[in-house]
Amino acid sequence: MSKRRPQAPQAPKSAASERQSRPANTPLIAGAAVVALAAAGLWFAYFGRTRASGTPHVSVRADGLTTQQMLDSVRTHFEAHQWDAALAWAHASNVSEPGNARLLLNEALAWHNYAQDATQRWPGRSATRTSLDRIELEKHAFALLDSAEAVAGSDEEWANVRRWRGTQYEVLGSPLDAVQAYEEALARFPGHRATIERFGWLQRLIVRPSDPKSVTAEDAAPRPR
Amino acid sequence: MNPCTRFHAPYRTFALALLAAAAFGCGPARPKAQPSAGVAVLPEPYAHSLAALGVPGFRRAFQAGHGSQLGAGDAAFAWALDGADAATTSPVYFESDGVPIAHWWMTTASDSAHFEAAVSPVPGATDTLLVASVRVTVVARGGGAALSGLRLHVLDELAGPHYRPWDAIPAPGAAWTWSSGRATRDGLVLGGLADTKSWRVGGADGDARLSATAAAGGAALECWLVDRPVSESEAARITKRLRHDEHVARTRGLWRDWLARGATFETPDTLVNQAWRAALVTLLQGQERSAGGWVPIGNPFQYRDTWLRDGARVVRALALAGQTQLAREDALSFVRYQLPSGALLSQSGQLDGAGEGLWAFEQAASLPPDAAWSKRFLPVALRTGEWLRRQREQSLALAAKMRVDWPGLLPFGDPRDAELVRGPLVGNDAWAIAGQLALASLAARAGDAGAADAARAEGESHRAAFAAALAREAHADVPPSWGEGGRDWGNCYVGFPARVLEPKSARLAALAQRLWARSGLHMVSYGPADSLHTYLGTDLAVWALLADRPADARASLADLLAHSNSTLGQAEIVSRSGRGFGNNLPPHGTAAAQLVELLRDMIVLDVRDTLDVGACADAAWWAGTHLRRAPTRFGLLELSLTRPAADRFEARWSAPGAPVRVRVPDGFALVRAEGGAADPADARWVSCPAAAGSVTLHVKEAP
Repeated sequence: MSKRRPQAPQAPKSAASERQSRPANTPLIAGAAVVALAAAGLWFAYFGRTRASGTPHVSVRADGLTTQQMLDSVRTHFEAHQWDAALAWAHASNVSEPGNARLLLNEALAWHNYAQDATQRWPGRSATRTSLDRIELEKHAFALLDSAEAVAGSDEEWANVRRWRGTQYEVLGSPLDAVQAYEEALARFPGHRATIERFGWLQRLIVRPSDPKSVTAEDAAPRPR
Repeated sequence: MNPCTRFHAPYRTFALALLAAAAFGCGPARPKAQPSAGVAVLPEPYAHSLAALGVPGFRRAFQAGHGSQLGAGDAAFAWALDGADAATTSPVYFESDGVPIAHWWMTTASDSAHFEAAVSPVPGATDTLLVASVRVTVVARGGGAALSGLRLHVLDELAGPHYRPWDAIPAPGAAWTWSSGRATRDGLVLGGLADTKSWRVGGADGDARLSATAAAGGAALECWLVDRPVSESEAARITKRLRHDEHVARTRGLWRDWLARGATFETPDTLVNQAWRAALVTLLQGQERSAGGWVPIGNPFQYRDTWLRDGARVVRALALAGQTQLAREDALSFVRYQLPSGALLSQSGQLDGAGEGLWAFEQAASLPPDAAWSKRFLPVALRTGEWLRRQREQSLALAAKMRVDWPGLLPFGDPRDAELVRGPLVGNDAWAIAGQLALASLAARAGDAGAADAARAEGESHRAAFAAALAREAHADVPPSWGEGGRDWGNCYVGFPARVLEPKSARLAALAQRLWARSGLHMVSYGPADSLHTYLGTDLAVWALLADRPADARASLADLLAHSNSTLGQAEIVSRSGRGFGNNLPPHGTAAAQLVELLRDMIVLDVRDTLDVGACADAAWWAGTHLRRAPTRFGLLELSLTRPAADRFEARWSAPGAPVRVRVPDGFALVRAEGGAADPADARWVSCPAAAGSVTLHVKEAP
């Protein structure tokens, strides 16, 4: 966060300082110092050590693990609601095996869960401080769903990703965007069971939105496959 | 959010620091002297008196009060007078020109201690850090030497109503200790004593709290706090550079500079003028930096987040107040809420955000009108407009396949907010209609006539569906939802700012009547009748202006000011009987925004196709009201209302080509008008040609 820049400093104008005489080469030394400072700053800016600084700070050691083993870790952390660790493993699995729709879907869900429900430092505190942060992460999840759909190997796999897109919209509270996604999933793969079930819940909500027996999208938050 | 290309923060900070040092040198500038405007001592109607001391762009604010205490979340300083049986602490006050430097007094039978707390960054220290400097001056009330000593306590957290920031260290933490006059815990410093010789520091006192004492009657006692614990080296930098008088001058300069950027608003009522400035201070304190731009937050304490439903109101208020660039940047931040579907959504289930976002874009681009900004917002706005249109289309298509109770309207929403219902919400549709019509104006200004026509047609079609649904509802006025109950919320916006129904609509009049009758005031109760909501009713007051019921608007303003605190901030909800606000601390940003809206609209109303001057119809305000550099939809406005004689009111303005109407003040009847003519349909209004720049109303007292 950058603030109002402090005013440029003024040279002190005390009588004592006015009396002092400067050596002739002082401006040269000062100029050299300014150049050196600027150069050092630029050096650090361009060549200083970099580090991944995404929102989650959990790092995982994936060396030598199979994708399935990493997915097991994703599942374990999902079930424990440890969203940041789940996200780290989901990302690691995609690094390990790029272009896999199932892994991309898992990472999208991990980002979504992290945005909605993550507790990073202390229980009860969201990892995302503001709604702007949350929506940025949700949009990242949507982008990963785009990727997952693009590399889906079958209509069923595509429909499954599209179904989760619908559920993400449902959780975000946009039921007709969810309807559209469910309809598109079923148009592509008509017998997709999970979509049929989820769409059924949503239709019930549309008919009776305040029915206390209706299950909300929040009750049915995404879980890994 | 790709985490692969970011610099490690400390290295980046170091690099930037080196560059900054090279560019600007290392010494802080001494601030220009800023004389005080005096302290605005106002009544405190709330059970607890507290004030927010923040600065635009920072992520924490200090809370001054209740009582003699100050803190920003991780810990707090509290002061007591030693040697006194009983001390009374005053409410917290700001300065008369709105500068949020806190002043309060503790008094005993013999002594009076004055506290002055100024908050701003310290040049040369970390520029994301706010520092509070506090000076305490103890004097004997009857002259001579003060008898009371001063005791300073270090607390883990403030006593009474307060909010701990999400990133505060959980209390209770480790024990505080004094180190070189600095309150230290786990190697981090919270604050310190400016002059350690004046203070006698000790360990924990009887209450196991760290404290320091000082004898009274000597020089002023000073101490400082930071908005979050800092390292010893940072504390040393602060100690070296912090001088209380300079810090106060810096704070005054900072705020006077911010306030001077906007329009000038002056009426003969000094309380109203102070309320305007206080509201702006709240709006400015509720500004954070994010992704290189400004974003509006809900309030300096518990609502440090952004809601489209609140942020949109802040955008318009800032635009009305002439904080044009800030309003536009705030609106620009809403672009980040756009989902791939085109929806603008800040919180799950709050579908009103789409219409509010469109409306906010239009406010930012039209106050004053700006084609370039209209073009900048238009691509995002068009996608949202299309999303809204598609929502209605989908609901109609779905109705052909299954039961849909309200086809042609938006679907159900589950906002998990004040509506307290999951259902199809009237407010969502009202905002969607307002959003489409705002999009039409935005597109027209951007030069896209086709998009403007399409948005206008969609807005009018939605309005027709709204009217049909309202006709179906077995409800005497305007319900909160379509058939699902819920609390009055979004329906309060139907008359204004959504303007879905005509101002003279009997349903709107009945809605206002029902809500005002329930509170017994010109305010709205939220939930229990005893719980007064400070901004939900303000839109009814603006609707009253549109409906030419100025007495209702004036009564609303009077009630709102009577329920504002001693720094003219508003809690969101306040108990009428107990005067408490719980942990929903003042000041609330939306209340401030809507106060700005109401005050400005009472003088000049520009939401119709005329500039309506003196809409509040208060003769007292004609005794010298001035707006300067005030943005309107017609351009920047200079306006003055004067009363040169008992039977004469004079309005002068410079507005580029706006057709002007002037309201005859209540209690008077128009005899004749120079520069205009009485409206044949309503003699309480005088119409002036677009080229006019003044009008004189010759009046007589109404019978």
